Amino acid sequence: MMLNKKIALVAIFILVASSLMAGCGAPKEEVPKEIVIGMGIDLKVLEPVHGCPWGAPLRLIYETLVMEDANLEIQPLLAESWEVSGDGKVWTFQLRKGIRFHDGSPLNAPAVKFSLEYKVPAYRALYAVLESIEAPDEHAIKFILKKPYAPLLRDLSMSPIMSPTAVDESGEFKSPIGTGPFKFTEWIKKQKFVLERNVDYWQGSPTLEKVTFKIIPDASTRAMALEAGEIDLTGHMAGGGVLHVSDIQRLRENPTIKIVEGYTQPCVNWIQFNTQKEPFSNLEMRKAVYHAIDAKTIVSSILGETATPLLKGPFSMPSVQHLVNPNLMWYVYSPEKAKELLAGSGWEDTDGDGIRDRNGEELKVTYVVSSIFDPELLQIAEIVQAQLKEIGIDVELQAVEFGVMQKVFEKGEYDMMVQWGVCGHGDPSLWLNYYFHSKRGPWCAFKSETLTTLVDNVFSTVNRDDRLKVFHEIQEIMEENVPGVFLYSDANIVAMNKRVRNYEIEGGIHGAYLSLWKVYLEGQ
Amino acid sequence: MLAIVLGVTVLTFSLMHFTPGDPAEMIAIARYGMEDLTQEGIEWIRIQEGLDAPVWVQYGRWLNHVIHGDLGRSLIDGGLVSKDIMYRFPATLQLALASMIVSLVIAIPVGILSAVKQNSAMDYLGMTGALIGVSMPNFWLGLLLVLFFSVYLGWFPVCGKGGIEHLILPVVTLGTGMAAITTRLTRSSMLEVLRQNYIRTARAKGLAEKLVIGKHAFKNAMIPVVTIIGLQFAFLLEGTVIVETIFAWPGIGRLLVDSIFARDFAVIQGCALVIATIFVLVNLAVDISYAYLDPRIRYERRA
Repeated sequence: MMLNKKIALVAIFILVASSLMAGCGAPKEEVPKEIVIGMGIDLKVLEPVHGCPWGAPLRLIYETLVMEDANLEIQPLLAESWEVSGDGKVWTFQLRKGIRFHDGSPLNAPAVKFSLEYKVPAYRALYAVLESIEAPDEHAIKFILKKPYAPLLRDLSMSPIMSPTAVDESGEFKSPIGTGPFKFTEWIKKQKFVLERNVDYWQGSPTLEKVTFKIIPDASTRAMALEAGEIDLTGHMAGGGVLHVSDIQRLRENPTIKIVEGYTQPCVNWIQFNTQKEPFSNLEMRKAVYHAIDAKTIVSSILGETATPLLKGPFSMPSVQHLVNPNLMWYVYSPEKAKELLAGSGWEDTDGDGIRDRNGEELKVTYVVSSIFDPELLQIAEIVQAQLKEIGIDVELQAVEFGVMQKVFEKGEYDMMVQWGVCGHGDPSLWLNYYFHSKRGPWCAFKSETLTTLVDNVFSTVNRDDRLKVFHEIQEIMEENVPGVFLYSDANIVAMNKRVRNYEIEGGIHGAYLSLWKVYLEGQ
Repeated sequence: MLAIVLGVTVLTFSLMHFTPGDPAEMIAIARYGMEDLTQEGIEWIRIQEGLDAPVWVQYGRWLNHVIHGDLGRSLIDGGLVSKDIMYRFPATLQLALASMIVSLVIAIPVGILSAVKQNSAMDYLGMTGALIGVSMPNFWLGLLLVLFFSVYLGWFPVCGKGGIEHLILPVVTLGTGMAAITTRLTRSSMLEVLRQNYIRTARAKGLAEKLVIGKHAFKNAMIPVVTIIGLQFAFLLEGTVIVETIFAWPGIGRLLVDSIFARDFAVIQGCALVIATIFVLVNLAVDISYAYLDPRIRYERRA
């Protein structure tokens, strides 16, 4: 019986120990006027960053000179007005007067200059054309460029301004100090990010006293947390993370929850061809695959309302609809057409195994997918695999981790690869530059000198009409050369408790929280 | 023991460096996004974070810091690795201990009863339960529990760490899954022991059935069970990525997995060091318990 006693003692000890530990987590206090937001991914740094899907909460601390509104149009924010010289090389911004950073230091031209030059070499593409930033007086900031740069305002709409007091003497980042409606309180990594209101905010003190971002990695858990009232708001794309279609449908039926939709930046989800090697060095092959893939079915069967199929090329999404070249037909879904094109290139199924062959070689291709961010990418890849099987192409799916995918991409060891993202603001120039400019070397998805020149022109052409022509020409080249199959663009959806009032999606996925300063909770 | 822990860190370090994918590039993307990714930016990070040095030099630097009690800083956010681990380890420990208790409280009695009353209704019920427990994936059970107990009944919070109410659903998810395995093992181990001659002897000499089962059979049947429990416990302490993800539990498992994806070597190494140490310690504890359970196993004291 000694044994039983010992076991009992051990059990009691463990119970007491664990209950003591459980007690460490203090019960949640009731804090009034607090909004709790569910995010799928955590922040990575507190420094002001340029874009990044997870960067949206930081936009409550740091503000930008200009911002994108709900229609992705540029609106003044810290700068109240601006003008550009006739040659497009000198931009002068007038800063709003009387704005102070969270620590009381004034927002002035030297502060803006400091902030925009902070860690310049690290990651800012704009600086390739930047001659200098000057502060002619206390409230004017001047950008002197080597050549005209059309998306400058867009670029500045994602460049957060921090206080010079946010770094220490050696220039190392110390703490997040901006001019925004909320001040930094605490960040418990991968758990929560807490902000308190800035009562001195220049547009008026926010009603919400506290904003808590809860990091909930699993999309279904986030939806359930919203249903259970543990969080007040969470988004698909907006501010980091996705929601599953099935969960959104359930949320729509819930009378306590409302759903708001907005634009996303021009983010293209597409299948990129490796045109550097067989079989996709052959243009007819690429056209055949485009004809064989039914983007509509992919969207309706897997993504539902969380995406829009791109039926007229890469810009045929709601946010940049005006850039679409109306004269282009692209490649409508037609397996027959696809089969014709394959047969025309000499690929026939001679041995009757359902896979086409030529000179004794089977038509086999690899399709590299990274499903880390979004498990649905793998399901989509399976549909693509089935649709290509239909026309006699054997697709080998390779689901790899993101880092591996980048390596495979750089080395060109693939035939088809899933591509997405690179869309920080409302102008597709970032995406075009990332994938289609030959100077990007290993990251250039389609090497073409014509396209490279056109991408350069997207940046240097300031006149709206001329620029639209450049976009039209780019689409012509893309339709003609088929660098990839443009599939769909994500929708921007935010689900929230009905008591959240005055919320609107501004500035696409990165501006998901920009309206929080005027949001209030009903019943307060 | 120290050799094992060191070996593990050397192995993780070299494996991580042989993994395809440029760490400087991954760090650049994690920190700043893909929008403005430039070759210069990547090289800048490579030099800043000392990733340009040969692998063995990097390991040497790391080891030197560890010896001086410094696990370094995260390559992504610059936070202290020791702080990250110290914050997360108690959460993991809490979840592991509580799940272990739930598992044992279910598994041991059910396992013993199933064995003693073999082929009875009790036995079938227990084994069916165990079968369900083994075959039900954690993520599914977890989501079902949340849907039922949190969303519909509103009894427990959906996710996060806090009071005891936050602990219940993740613990039930983990505990029942493990209990299933332990129950089956306890039952089969008990059955085998009950067929032994010494049990027949014990019964023949007129010992009460309670004593036969409780003292003679149970203690002997426990040896394989303790081994499994030890492994399970060590496994729990390494973190349980799926349950941590579903319940947004700030455990060490997700920290490690996230860091691997982001190529945050400093955090990966720190986690590897801690996990290896725990694994070795738990195994030591299991070995010691053998000696207690089976007097034939004795660890010789060296003169």
